Amino acid sequence: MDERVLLIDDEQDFMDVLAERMRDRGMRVSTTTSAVEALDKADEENFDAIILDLMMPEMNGLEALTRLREKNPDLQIILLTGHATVEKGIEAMKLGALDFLEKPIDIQALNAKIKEAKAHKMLLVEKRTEEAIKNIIGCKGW
Amino acid sequence: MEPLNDTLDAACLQVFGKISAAVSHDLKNVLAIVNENAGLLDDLALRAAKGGEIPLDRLNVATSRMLKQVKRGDAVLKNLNRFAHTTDAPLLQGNVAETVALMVDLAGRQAAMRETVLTVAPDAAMISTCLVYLESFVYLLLRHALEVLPRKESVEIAVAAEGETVCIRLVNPAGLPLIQDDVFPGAQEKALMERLKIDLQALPGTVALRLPASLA
Repeated sequence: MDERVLLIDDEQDFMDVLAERMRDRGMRVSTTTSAVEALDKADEENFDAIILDLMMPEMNGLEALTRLREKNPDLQIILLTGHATVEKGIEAMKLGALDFLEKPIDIQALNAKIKEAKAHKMLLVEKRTEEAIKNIIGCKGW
Repeated sequence: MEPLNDTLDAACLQVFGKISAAVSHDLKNVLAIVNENAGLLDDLALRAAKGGEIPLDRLNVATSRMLKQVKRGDAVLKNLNRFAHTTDAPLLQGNVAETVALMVDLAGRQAAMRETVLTVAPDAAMISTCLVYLESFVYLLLRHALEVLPRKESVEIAVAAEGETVCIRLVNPAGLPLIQDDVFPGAQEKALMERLKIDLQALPGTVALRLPASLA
């Protein structure tokens, strides 16, 4: 599969075992319990999907979602939470989350969502590349 | 229980709602960890069925994580059960420090979110009062203090018998205000204070509650 995934959750035990299972499925997984550290990691590495907890000590998930999307609007972010409400779900989607999933999660469903994130991101990258090429051709008048 | 008036009823319902939300979130996390570890064991079993080796260390880690979460879930439910049973009678006798410690545990998730440490010193002082109202008041006070204090602070709580009264004292060692006095006590907290005959004194870094040791 080889998807690059960033997992952000303040429940260390949850994050460790989920990351272990995702790595067993061929994904490259980075983890952090800190939303602040996640912002740095998102700068340093190119992730296909970011799995983000809603409630964390330093910064809540919705704020982290907003800041991550401000840094890079192409980031594909999936909220994964034990604190799901319809209102929070709607808010997350309005802020640009790819999806809002509830714990406990079925790993097959999460894998499918990560694949969708990667495909979506590739489409965005292709679109941007195409636009850039069109711009270059337009400027040069070839 | 005796009939509640609207404000007291609303205050208790609000506290039950907040506690239920926090507990359900905690239990969701417990289930999520158990679910992932069960999934990991399933992955390993599938691997073994295909002739692969099962690494014992991974088995041990998965089972110990599951046992840890069972203990965590049990503690959360015990606290919720203790709190729920304080509605059993209008007046109940209880150890004050243990009652406060229960509410500190139930406010644990909010404290963790604010990275704030709440500690309660053990004490033998007993009280005979409407415990569900006292618990509700303490919980609302703790939630308020957690919002008012900056992150990564601490609150030390001590209980003492003072003749016919009991004193519950909350102290922030840095001397920072624990309540915002134009917000707390609000109408609900005032109703609880009146019913429990609580005298509240707030100074920067300290809040002292004095209430009758026996409300009867």
